[in-house]
Amino acid sequence: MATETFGYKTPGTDVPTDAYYIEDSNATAEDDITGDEKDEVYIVKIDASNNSQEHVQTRVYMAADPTVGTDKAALALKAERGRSITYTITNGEQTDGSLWHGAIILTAMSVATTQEMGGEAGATAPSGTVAVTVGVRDVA
Amino acid sequence: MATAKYAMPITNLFGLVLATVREVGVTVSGVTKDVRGGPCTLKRVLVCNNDTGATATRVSCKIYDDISSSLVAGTSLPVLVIPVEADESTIVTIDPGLTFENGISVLCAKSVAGASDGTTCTAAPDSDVTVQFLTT
Repeated sequence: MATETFGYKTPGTDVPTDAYYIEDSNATAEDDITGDEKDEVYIVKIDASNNSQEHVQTRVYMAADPTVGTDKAALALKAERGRSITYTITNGEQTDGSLWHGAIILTAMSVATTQEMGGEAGATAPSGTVAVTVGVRDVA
Repeated sequence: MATAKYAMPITNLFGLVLATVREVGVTVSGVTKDVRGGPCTLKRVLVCNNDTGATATRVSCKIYDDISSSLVAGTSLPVLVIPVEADESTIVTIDPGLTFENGISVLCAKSVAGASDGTTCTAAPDSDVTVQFLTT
């Protein structure tokens, strides 16, 4: 898991946003990826370009050690097969174009990616590797 | 009661429709189906949780690519799940956009705090939740 920094910041401050990179081909959750008590989620990039067989869904949990397919995901986002997609989460934009703080605060953030099948209880691993980058700011 | 509030086309100088903003109000746990009127590409979602006060709760906005009668809240797979804190709004911008092959249906449910973020997550919110879609 690599850490980098996105350019987004909280207006009035210069707080960088950490990014956590996860590359997975199973439907098991990466547990508590930040190790922080609370994080604001700014951005989720899902790169399914190496997964051409089926649509996938990345699920973000407010829990350590979640059971995929049983525990409800706080945030669920789709990526179409063979494509990359970026979700940017804000509650507003500043006049200078910078993004307001992330609107979703999660505790013990865990991340899993599954095939888009089987309803809310679906927990089937993607057939290919899916790369997920989550941009967060520690607010604990 | 879910209501379709408005649909406003965004056009360029030549009158070509670039995108359409549609807004629905969701106050009950039932699914509001086909808010866009058929297949589309979703570019942006705004969810406003109007629940305020000491007992206000987070809501989960569930968005489905399904307009059929077989769509069941709490069972069918939502394409997107977006949590919104009490008295807050959340904007999710999607680049380059997400294709809805069948159409957009939406449900907003009260999200009980806890390790699993709720159980069935289909209970009605206490206050009106407004969801705005920007589609092409």
